[in-house]
Amino acid sequence: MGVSEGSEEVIVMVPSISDPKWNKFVANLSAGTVRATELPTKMFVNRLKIKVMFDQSEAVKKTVIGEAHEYFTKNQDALKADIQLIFG
Amino acid sequence: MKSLMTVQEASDLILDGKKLLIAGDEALLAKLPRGEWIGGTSPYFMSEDGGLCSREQLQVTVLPAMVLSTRIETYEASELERIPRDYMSNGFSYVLIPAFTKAHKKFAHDCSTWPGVFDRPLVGWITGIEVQDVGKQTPKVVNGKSGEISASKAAVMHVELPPEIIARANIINLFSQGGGDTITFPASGFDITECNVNGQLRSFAEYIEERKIDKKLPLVADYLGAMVNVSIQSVNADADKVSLYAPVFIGQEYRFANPVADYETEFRKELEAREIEPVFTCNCILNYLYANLEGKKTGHIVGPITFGEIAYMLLNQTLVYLTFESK
Repeated sequence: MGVSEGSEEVIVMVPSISDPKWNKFVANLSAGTVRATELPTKMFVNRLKIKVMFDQSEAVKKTVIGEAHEYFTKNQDALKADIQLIFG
Repeated sequence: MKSLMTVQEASDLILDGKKLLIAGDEALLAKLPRGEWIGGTSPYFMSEDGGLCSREQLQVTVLPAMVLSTRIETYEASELERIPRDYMSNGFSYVLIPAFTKAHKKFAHDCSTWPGVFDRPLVGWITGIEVQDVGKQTPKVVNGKSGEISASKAAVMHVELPPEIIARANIINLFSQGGGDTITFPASGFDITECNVNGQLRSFAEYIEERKIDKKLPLVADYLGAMVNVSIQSVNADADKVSLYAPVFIGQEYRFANPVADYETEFRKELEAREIEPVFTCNCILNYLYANLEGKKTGHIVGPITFGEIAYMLLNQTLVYLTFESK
């Protein structure tokens, strides 16, 4: 995970796909403890949560991490608060 | 500028090159000239003077001058998954889908699984008709650019914003999960026979009748703090079937909502807490009917009253709004 420190704010970056933080993200999905502020993240993560609930295989975890990594990476400008909340 | 207009006033804006989102009766929409607009049928509006039903006026949202460009597309039910692929690089998309159609059901069932659907704000509504005309007339959408009027396709305006502006979609839902039973469903869908009540499989229709549940109260699911409603359309105990205005999803936990004591007052409180100046809003026909919003105001919020609200997903009994922010 990279953190760039500017003079005004600390920006949490999206962890690389191999970062152990993703395993924690999946564990938090299962435990229902992921928090978010933006509506699209709430809806997106809720879908992943259901997916993991039905199948906790490594293959599904890998798919979920791939989808989440893509979502947060593509939308990091709009999702700074959620990225901070989830990976900070 | 007031949101309710005559055909002539709306036509003047179209001919002036304004980019518009329009709601109104089909006969009025059909009279408008071609231009940068998209329209859906509904005679119900929340106006500056309160809620009303009118077939003589259109409700017009004028997109601000900062909008760089728009692209209007129509999609068959089988093509809806393409919507996210057509998103602008920065902006939002505004979708209209006729009620009771294959496109309506397909969107409601599948949209959250479409790759990229959450990458830009997707807001809009399910188009309707006057309640007394359900079964006699069909809701429509209009592509103002081409003049196409459709009773089956979704119409979408993809809107491009300047790089320094970001659009955000959000909701105001006055309903919250009540303290009653946890309900899950063995299958996703609009038409339900069985449910699990606190883990026990049983007839959903029988459960609703036995508990004398107020059918004006929606089922509420908690999506990480966002309350997502599913409203009851009808309960047929003889056929052992409950029809819903949006699908329930397998694996999702639902509870029936707590009642809202005074919609108008509670809404105003929620609005004051948020301090928002939305570019666009829409609210649900069920809120309009159940909370008797005719002649009543929902703060300074104006917009069409609809047969289903869309903020990425199909919602019920919820106000959807879109705001612009500086990045």
